[in-house]
Amino acid sequence: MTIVSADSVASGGYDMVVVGTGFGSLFFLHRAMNSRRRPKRVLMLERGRQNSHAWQIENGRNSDIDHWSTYDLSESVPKWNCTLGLGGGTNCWEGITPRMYRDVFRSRSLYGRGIDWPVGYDDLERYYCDAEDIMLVAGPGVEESPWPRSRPYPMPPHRLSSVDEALRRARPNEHFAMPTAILSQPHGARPSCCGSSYCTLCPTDAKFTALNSFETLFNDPDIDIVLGAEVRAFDIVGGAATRVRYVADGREHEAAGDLFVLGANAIHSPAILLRSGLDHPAIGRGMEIKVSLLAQVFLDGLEHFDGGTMHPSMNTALASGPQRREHGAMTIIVSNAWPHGARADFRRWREAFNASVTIETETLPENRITLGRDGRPRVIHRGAPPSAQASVEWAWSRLPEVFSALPVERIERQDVVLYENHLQGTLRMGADAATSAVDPDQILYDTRNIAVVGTSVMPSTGSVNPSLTGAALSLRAADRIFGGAS
Amino acid sequence: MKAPQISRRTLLLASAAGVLGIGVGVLTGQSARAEYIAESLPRLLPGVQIDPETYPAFEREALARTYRSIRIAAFASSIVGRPLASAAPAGKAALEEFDRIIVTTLLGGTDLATRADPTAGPLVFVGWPPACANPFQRSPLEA
Repeated sequence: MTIVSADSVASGGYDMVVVGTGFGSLFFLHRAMNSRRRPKRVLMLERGRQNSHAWQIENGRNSDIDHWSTYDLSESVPKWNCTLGLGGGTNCWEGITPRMYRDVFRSRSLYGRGIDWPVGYDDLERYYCDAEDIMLVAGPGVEESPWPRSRPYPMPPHRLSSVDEALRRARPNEHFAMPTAILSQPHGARPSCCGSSYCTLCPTDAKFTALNSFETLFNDPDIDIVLGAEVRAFDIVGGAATRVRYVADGREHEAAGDLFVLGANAIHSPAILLRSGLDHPAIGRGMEIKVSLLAQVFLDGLEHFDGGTMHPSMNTALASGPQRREHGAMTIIVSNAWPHGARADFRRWREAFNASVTIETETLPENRITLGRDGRPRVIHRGAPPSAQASVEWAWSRLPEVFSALPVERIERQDVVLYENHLQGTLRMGADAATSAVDPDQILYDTRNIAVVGTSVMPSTGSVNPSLTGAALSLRAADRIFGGAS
Repeated sequence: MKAPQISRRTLLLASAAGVLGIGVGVLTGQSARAEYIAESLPRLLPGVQIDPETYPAFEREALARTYRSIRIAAFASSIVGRPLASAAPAGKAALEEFDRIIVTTLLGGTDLATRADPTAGPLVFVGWPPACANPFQRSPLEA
């Protein structure tokens, strides 16, 4: 790994300086380094350290940094989670890789609510495929996929549970094997998934992480990596960034560059821009949140928990349709996590399963990132908007029909929780420079040599896990800037 | 000057709050929860025996998996009994979760999940499984 100290950072500057090492940054960098106009010298600045897979398993956590200490949550209902360390969110994610539904990109046009993205599903399709290939995603065949696909997944799907098979038999167009960046077959030294239900700390390293899949970037002699580098701000002169200022080893440092790629996360990235003196009204605005309705389904005679991963399937029964004029997108996920889903009744332990309905909510501009007096990001977020309650109730009313193909004894409503692990919005992309932070190529409207990557640019959340879409957007943005593959 | 009068209602509320306060303080102790486990086993697993030598390890593991609302509910159950403690939805949910923890601790830490007859001989608790053990997962070779 080409880790260098802050003192040995090249004084002559870099072609590209990358801030952060999560999905957004690394997929962008991967494509840039394999492009026709490959940058010659790259600096990568990571606030955290390198915590190996073995370290994470031994210590039962993904990072040695308390991320909550790096931002002020006193005015935020959600207690946002992230990982500060080499690889960022690729360490702690659960490896679930659904694509955004096609209609989510055009919510406003189709349903009169939500936001239209400046890019569409068809613009992203090949980048979705590329990102899935890099992550070795296991998923259903082209004909059995809920999304139009131009290429098959690189790995066959994980095994469905008996419950999933019953649901799929009854409605094959609504129930699907969940695509996951978790190996369904051994690959190199990495074994296939063991069905542990501990995906945030995958015990076998079957889950894609930067540490197990981007060695070529970390060992590239043209990329200098500085760990423990807290980026404070950019120097911006005449509408262009000239330097990045950061603190490492207790001292201030700086590095010059031609292009800067900002992929800290949806809390820290806008804070860096605000500390740089940028005051575009869209910077930091509109932090998004999804909610999840949790339910337990009790069955009579049909057994569960024999699926292949923690989340063997997804159901799209509530994803699209006329209800979208009143509600956000929704995805039902079936859980295979047996310690949390088994029932206590004697010898009927497996006759139950947990399901969650993930619900997109409206984005409110008052949910935002500002700067506290100490310069730390201050998250102001009221939690789920009031309109979310009606969507939750509608989803709850639909569950008996969704599971009607099963021998359901009863469905118990458990809880409604906030998705605190998906940091999205705050630097949203759009075609209108007055209302968006970045343009459709993810270039900051205010400063044309700063590209923003990661889930912070997403105009809306959809109802699925965002990491794959963040990765696909990064591949596309790198292509737009570096001219495509070499 | 007349001393302020305390109404019967206020007195009752204060007493209840006091009892609750003591309860919350005591519930960090494990005896109520351990008692709940012992009393619940015949109901949850009728006819199933647990090897007495490994029972303490099973109990420790199950206790470690409980959390605040379960501890409160288990304490309430030790005072007023399970039917009353689960009269309110929150208490019911917490005790049902405790039941699930008891059962899944044995499903994960013994061969209970794969036994044809769970009552045939005592269960030997060998420890909560390493992360990779899903006792119900089918082999990739299985149809």
